[in-house]
Amino acid sequence: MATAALARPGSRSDLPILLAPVSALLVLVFFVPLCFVLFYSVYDGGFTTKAFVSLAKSGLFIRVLGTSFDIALSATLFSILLGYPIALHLSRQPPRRRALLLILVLLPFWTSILVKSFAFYVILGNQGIINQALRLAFGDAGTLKLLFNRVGVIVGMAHFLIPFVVFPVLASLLAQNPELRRAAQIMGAGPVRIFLRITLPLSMPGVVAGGLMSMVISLGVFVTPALLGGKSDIMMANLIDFYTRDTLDWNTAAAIAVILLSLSAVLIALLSWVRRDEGVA
Amino acid sequence: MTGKRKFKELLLSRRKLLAGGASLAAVGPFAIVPGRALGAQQIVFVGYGGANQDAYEKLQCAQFTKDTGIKVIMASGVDLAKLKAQVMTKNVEWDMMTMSSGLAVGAEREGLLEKVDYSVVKWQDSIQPKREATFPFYTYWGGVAYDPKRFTADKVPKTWADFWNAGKFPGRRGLRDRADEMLEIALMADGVDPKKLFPLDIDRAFKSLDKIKPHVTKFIAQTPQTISLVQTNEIDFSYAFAGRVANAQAQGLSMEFVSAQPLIISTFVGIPKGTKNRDAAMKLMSYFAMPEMQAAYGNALPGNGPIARAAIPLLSGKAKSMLPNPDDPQTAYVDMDWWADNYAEATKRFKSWLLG
Repeated sequence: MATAALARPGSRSDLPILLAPVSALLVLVFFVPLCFVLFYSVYDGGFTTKAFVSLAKSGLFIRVLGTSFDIALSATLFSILLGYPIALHLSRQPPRRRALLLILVLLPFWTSILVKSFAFYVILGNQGIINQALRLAFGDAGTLKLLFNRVGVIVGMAHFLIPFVVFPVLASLLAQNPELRRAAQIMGAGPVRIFLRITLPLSMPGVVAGGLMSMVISLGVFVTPALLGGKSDIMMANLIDFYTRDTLDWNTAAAIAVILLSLSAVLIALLSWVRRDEGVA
Repeated sequence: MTGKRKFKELLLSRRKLLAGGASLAAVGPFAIVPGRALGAQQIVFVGYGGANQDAYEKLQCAQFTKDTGIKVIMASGVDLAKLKAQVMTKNVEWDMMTMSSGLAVGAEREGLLEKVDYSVVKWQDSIQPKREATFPFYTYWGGVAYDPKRFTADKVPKTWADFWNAGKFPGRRGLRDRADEMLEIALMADGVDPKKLFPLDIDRAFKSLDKIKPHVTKFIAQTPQTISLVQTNEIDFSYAFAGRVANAQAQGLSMEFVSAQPLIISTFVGIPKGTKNRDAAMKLMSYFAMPEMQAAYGNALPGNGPIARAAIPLLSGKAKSMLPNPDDPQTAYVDMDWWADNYAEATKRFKSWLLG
């Protein structure tokens, strides 16, 4: 009965009704186009696997695939290193103050990626704030190359990836029973030991979830590497763009998209597996 | 047309849209084009936006509307993939579009454009060859942008051989991240006669590019960066377009342009295949062919030149002073037909070269 279903918030009987609108929307605007992408990846005037075969033999594609994973992985690791202390700090704040600070974490989402990339020139550039300060301190030898190379890409990407790390890590830190830490303290453990033996291991599901989310997001990025990166920072998305819009070779573009999608799907499968683990813990 | 029939047509096109919608969605978001009002005839023109589009909206398009009463709706976001999707699904929203030479050859090769009706569009003696489905209506040219506050004219590379000579002309270089235009200037740097560039010797071009690679700070993806990176002192000598530099000067920036070997590139208009307003669009195209319109366009945007030779005497002093002499032995042209056949392979090789 409807009233009974509403009375029990944990009930699953009303789930299909609640999910119907979003499912219909996703089928229409996401699943149907996705089928077309799959179709185009094996169809070019007739069914063929030539796009996949030629990609497997393409040195360019394989190198770009490698670069994409390299960039995605480094940006993710860097974001975790920066995001974890933020999450740890947030977890120790009173709720009201934490909510305020979380708004600051979300700040990077408030400006467009293009504007942010240009802002990074002012900070990281040859004539940027950092290099001007370094030159003031050490003379001309103090100039660091921070832009138009991998450093620029990683800094730019970490800037928008950090919130994706902070939230899941914070969730798993807040889920921890504070009594555990107190018990360890009573048993004589110092703060470093408590962190390494209790806080960090218990927050791992959050770290892995945030890391995988960052990986999946950064695999599809291409504006940041194009604006802040050097000549070799070409991503898979750049290749898809090239085949789609420059050469109109939708067969190859779709094949790359399918490969990128499959790899992301593997990562998401891992993500849900970790999430399930988290639920058990 | 009765209301009922109109409604039926609307339904039909909706269905077609749904069928084609998926393939459109596969290539990106829908182009946002204002809908057609019933009654008064109007056509949709899609361009690249910015100062160039403002200029031909006020000149060619405004004059056309004045003469014919047909309204021109301006939209921006030229995209070959969107054009292909419209033509494939027979749901053509655009009646006319501007195209870079790269896009023009792609659209011609894929048969996405109506043939130009030269009984309506008058072809004049021009500095560019006549084409079947696209019409070149203005030129722009590549050279070197620099900041005169940082370099005196004698320290700035003028020819492409100078640009390649980092020993004699020290400075951080900026080039583009694509094969088109880069192969041409690489060959000129290596001593190829600007009038005999085509067919491009690709191997030789890449050997020449190898020499400049260590001195290039940034292979630029976005055209505005060709100016902004010089302005912010991230690079010293940037491959840039004269019109962009003129625009920067107009904004009061310290920027100069030099080009002893200008590389001339054209911009085209074309009419998407299957448009319901073919005749009106062809009529509008004829305004882009008029020498006086081309001259007015060049005067509005110094650094952009006309195609028709008859337009050159009509240019103002300033516009003329910035126009390269098309017949000068050092002036080079991009040959679209060569690029039509070689674009994909040359670009793939260029991207691999960047990674290497």
